[in-house]
Amino acid sequence: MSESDIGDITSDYFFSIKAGVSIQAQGKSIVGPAGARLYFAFNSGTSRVWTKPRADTPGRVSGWEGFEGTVLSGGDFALLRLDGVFQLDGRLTLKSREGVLTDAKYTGMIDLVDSARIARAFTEHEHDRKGLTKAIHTLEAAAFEEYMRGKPLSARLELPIVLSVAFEAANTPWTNAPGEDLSWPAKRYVAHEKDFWRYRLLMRRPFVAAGKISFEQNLPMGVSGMELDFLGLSPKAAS
Amino acid sequence: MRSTLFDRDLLYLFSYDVDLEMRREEVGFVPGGVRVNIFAKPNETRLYNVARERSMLGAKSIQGTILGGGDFALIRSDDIGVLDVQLLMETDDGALIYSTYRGVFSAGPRGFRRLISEKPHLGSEAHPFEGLVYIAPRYETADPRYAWIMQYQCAGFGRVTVVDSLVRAGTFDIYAMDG
Repeated sequence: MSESDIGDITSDYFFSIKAGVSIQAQGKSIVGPAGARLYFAFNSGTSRVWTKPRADTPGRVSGWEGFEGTVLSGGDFALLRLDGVFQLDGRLTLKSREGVLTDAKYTGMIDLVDSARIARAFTEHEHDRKGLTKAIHTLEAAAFEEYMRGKPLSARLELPIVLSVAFEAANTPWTNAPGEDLSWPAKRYVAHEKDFWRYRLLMRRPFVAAGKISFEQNLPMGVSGMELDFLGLSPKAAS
Repeated sequence: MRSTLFDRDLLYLFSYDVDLEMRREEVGFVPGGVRVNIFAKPNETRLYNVARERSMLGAKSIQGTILGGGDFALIRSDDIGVLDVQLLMETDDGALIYSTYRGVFSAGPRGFRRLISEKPHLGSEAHPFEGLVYIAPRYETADPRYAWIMQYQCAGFGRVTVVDSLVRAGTFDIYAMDG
């Protein structure tokens, strides 16, 4: 796995997801005081979860052998804020090839505002901070309005996305009574306990996911898919 | 010495019955219990007015359909189920309402074991287990006819029906806490 340093934090690549995303409820949104709430769902049939071959081979993090599987389900009641930022708050369920289910809760943001136009505003209002504030506010509000009006996007647009992710992976039954007989749970809850060790690391560190979200002009509200790399964070080992 | 702060009316909004057997993701054991994601079949759960219940809207009440959403539930090892629900509803007159809520459900003494074990089961066809559920929903909508719902903290009282350790259905009455 590759390693990058962020201050005193190390990030290790764990796996990637590529999935189709579609708007639900016929693209209807709920526009409230904070913005517009839209309901997206992951298309499990077109999804893939896999660990990419990287320059650093898996095994750099002891106990992690990669993830191969699919997205079983997932959705997001995303809020498009009035300032042109999609605020994400969603869930994903992943299914490994062994049949182990892993839950993920995530939050994140997608900025619809054209950064080049923001940069121009800074240049044009270099000596006019009041004018700069107004110009930025106008651009941010316009990003919201244009998206909600379905203003044609370029034929295919990709925007960067970063998520904060917390996983829950199936484990063996917990008990505080040493020696307790743990044969009582129904098979469907423990069918994959022999494989839990493969994914326990997902619950033992915070994760970020970085990648891109795709928009296509002819689709309702434009969203078509998402591709993400999941990185586990840990403190940099003291030298 | 002050008096109790709970001197509010509960104003009835609507009820719904949801079939919970449609799709389940049994994630399995996590610290503290078992994670189960439960999804109702889209477009099949109706919002209705329980007969004779005086509603917020006089003769009318909120009536519609749940379009989608789910419960990311944790069945805790102390016999308590913790609900974490997001729902999208559409009224019969076309308003879209988003709902999110948490709640608790008591499975009774040794309920966790009975829900998760192969045997003995919790509830049977002849004698289903009915557990009480308490939820605290809030709502969002853009429709001006229903904008009033956003100013309320709501309370919901429900029952879930469990047969052979599977949660089959839930029924809820939703109230707004009148300030």
